[in-house]
Amino acid sequence: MSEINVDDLPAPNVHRHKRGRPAAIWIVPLIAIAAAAALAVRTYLRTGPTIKIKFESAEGLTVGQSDVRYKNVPVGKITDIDISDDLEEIVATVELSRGFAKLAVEDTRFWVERPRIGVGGVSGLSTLLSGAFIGVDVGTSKKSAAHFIGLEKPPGILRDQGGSAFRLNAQDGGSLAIKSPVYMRREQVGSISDIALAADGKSVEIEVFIEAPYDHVITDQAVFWNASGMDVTLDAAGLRLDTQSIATVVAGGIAIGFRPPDPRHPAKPAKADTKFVLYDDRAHAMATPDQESLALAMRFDQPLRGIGPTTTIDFNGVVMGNVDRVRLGYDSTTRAFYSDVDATVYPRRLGDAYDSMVLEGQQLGRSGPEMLQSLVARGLRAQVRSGNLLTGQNFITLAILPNQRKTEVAMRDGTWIVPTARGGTDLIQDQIANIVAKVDKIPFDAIGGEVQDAAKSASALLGHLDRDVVPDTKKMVDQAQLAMDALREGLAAIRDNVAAADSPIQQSARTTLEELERAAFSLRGLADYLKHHPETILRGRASGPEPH
Amino acid sequence: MKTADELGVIACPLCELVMRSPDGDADCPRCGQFLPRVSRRGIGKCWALVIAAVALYFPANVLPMMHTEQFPMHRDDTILSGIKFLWREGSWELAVLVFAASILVPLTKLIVLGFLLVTSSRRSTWRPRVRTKMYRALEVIGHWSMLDVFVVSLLTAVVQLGRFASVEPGPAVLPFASVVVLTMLASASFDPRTIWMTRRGEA
Amino acid sequence: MPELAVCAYCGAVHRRAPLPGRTTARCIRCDAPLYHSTTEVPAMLGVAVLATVAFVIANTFPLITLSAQGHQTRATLWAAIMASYNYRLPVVAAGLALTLIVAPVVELTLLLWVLVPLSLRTRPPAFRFVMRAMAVLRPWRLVEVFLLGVIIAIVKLSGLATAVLGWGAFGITVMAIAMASLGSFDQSVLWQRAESVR
Repeated sequence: MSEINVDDLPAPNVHRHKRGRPAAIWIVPLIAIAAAAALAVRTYLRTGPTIKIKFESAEGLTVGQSDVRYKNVPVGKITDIDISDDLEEIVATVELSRGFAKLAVEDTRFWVERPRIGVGGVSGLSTLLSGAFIGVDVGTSKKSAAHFIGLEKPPGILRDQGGSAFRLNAQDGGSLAIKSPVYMRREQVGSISDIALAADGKSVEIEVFIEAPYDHVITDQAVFWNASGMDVTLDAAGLRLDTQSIATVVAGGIAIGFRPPDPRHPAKPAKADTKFVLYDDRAHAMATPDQESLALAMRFDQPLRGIGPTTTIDFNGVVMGNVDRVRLGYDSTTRAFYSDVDATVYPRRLGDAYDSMVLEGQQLGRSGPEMLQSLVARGLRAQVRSGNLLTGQNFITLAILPNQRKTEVAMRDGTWIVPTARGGTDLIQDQIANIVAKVDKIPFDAIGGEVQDAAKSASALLGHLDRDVVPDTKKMVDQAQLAMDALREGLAAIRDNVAAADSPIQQSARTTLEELERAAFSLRGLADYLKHHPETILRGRASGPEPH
Repeated sequence: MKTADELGVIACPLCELVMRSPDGDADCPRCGQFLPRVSRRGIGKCWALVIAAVALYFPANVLPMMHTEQFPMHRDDTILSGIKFLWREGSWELAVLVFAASILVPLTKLIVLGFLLVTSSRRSTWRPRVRTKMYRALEVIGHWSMLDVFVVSLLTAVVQLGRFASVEPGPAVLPFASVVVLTMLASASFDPRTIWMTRRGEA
Repeated sequence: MPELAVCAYCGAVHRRAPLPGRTTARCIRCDAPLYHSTTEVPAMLGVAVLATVAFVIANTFPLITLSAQGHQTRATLWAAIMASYNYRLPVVAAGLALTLIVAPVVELTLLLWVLVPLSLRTRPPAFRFVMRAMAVLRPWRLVEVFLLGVIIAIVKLSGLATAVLGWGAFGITVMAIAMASLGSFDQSVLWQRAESVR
């Protein structure tokens, strides 16, 4: 190793001594810390309150990705999903954005919006793409809260929707489900927001939400009926098809109607949450509530086909009630079967007629039974009439019939026993029987015999003709034949003598014609001469050549 | 083995000219580059930068780096959640890569720099070769941490498909880029020769 | 007087000896690289020119083309930088511009500034300043990192839609490699050559 002589190395350029600034570099970390602090503060300020919501299932929710949406606007994010202490539910920790702190009030409701398929329809489909999110229905309370229990399904009504909820009570749910439509005059005005079996299992409780402004139209005279599907009625009035819309055919629905205004009970607007009854169909709904009812019992001696528990009892065209029960009975003494019909009628359905009768009764000082007795005396009877020949459905009518045997109306155990008369179908049957009887009476045999006689005479006549008349006729025919021959000959002769060109007749005819022609010619000359020489008529002709 | 200090020589950091050691601050006669003397003054500057980097490291990781909208979902991703997402989506190679570049590297740099700073200022004699290698490694890998910033910029520029998909840089981009830059500056300001300065006088 | 080399990391003094082929001399004390085998100036020039061409390509053509649902977007290098600017991150945009455009441009310019005259055996003007400037900018050239970023972005995007590497990406690749190898060239060669043509 050779010596390294430092002096052979170049020398550096020495600086003049500078005083360096003390630690100017420390600005940098100061700025950095300040910036970090500022960011931290800003983030803290931007985040709103943290709330915890309990759900039964976290299906579809992802930490850091699923958000909370109010009216489709993201207002917060799920920062954590954990299981509750009692291991029964999951707890979602949600961080709300700054401006939406006011969402977290006591009565705010949260639910998980995920795809749901129900009879009412499919909802939440968009979450298939975007992932489930938590929906918010803001409450109106002023108190804020940090812990909530989430709903398991979206609430039927959101608070900000104008409108009111009403409660219906139904015998069964029919084909109704949440979100089934509610119609008024065939326009949708709301939907079912909740439907559930009553706790005692005896009825179904339905909550309907009617949107504003139609909720103010609902009065206490409103009636609700189940308008699901189609009502096909084939009854005494004929075939009727009643439906609200296709939607109700598919998804079920409720229709709202109004009873005819009753001047005695003016309609009052119904408050929210008023309870109504859900009727099975329009007919039942519109029927005026029946206040008084009378129980009737009728015994018919005739076959009672087409009479059953829904058969109507009719009076002068007004449906007064219906049959409750039909029982077959046997009378051993007369060895005949009879039918006992129990029915319920509602006299008030007669409306004004009933009112008048009551008034009359009051004026006459008669009681109800006495009035009925007078009607029966006038001929009020129960009759079976044919309602629909097609279906064989019949109905019972109470009618005042002529020529009825006098009878009494009795009451037994609160049931009026109404006398019966043979009714409509029987009359027809009788008439048919009459016709049959009449036809029966026609003496077909006698007629047949007479026809036979006539035929005999006719053949005798023909025989007579044949024997006697025919030979004479034959003679006549022969003679005629001779005459015909003669005629023929005569015509031939004529032909020969006249028609032929060289027949003497023709010849002479021709000659005559020629002469005539000459004569005419002469006359013409004479006429001419006279024209020129008119004086010759007087003086005669001067001698001269005869003109030719 | 003679060291430059022992011989009284110094090499220009830029043009590598070997010359006599100056007494004070001096420039290289050939290229004019400043000739830094081996001193611990740089350690303070390095600390400052390291502290700044640490301060900004928190927002860089807590705040979201990238905001993605891919109809109809949208998500904010921090560096960590982005890596988790990559991993779950099956691109585990990318996840590892991004993890290495965006989390391992900056963290390592900060830790190693801190370590070097501490050992140098205490004139530790612990394995100077290893420590020098560590420093050289920092120099090499330092700038690779900018990877995530580049990826976000590229994705932002490319994924602008209207409502279908769009990408936006998030608030963490600036802090994170700052962290990378600061660590690069910090490691540049650290004089590795201080590693070799032990209690027993200048190296 | 033998040529000397002082280890920048530990201060050990070595004798500088010519190296065969493509080897690197390492410090005896701390194993840090001391100096590389010398590369001739023409070779350096060639690589520099290649890097420049690659840079032009990288900036002209799009890096990535994304097509999905009938939309098509493409990103050039400049677009990637402007994206940060558009999203209210001007500082980041500036940083990207610095590392991806300014630094390489300046470095290549300066390199050519130096290499061309040296090849022609003349002294480049302001040689010392230029060399110092280059040294300052060198750590800020992040093109290789950007290249990896492009690759990662492509892979991330391929899950979203059809993502295709454009010619710009090819340019970036070449540029990254070229500049990395330029960085490994021994600077002292330039100094020596500059001295010899003084």
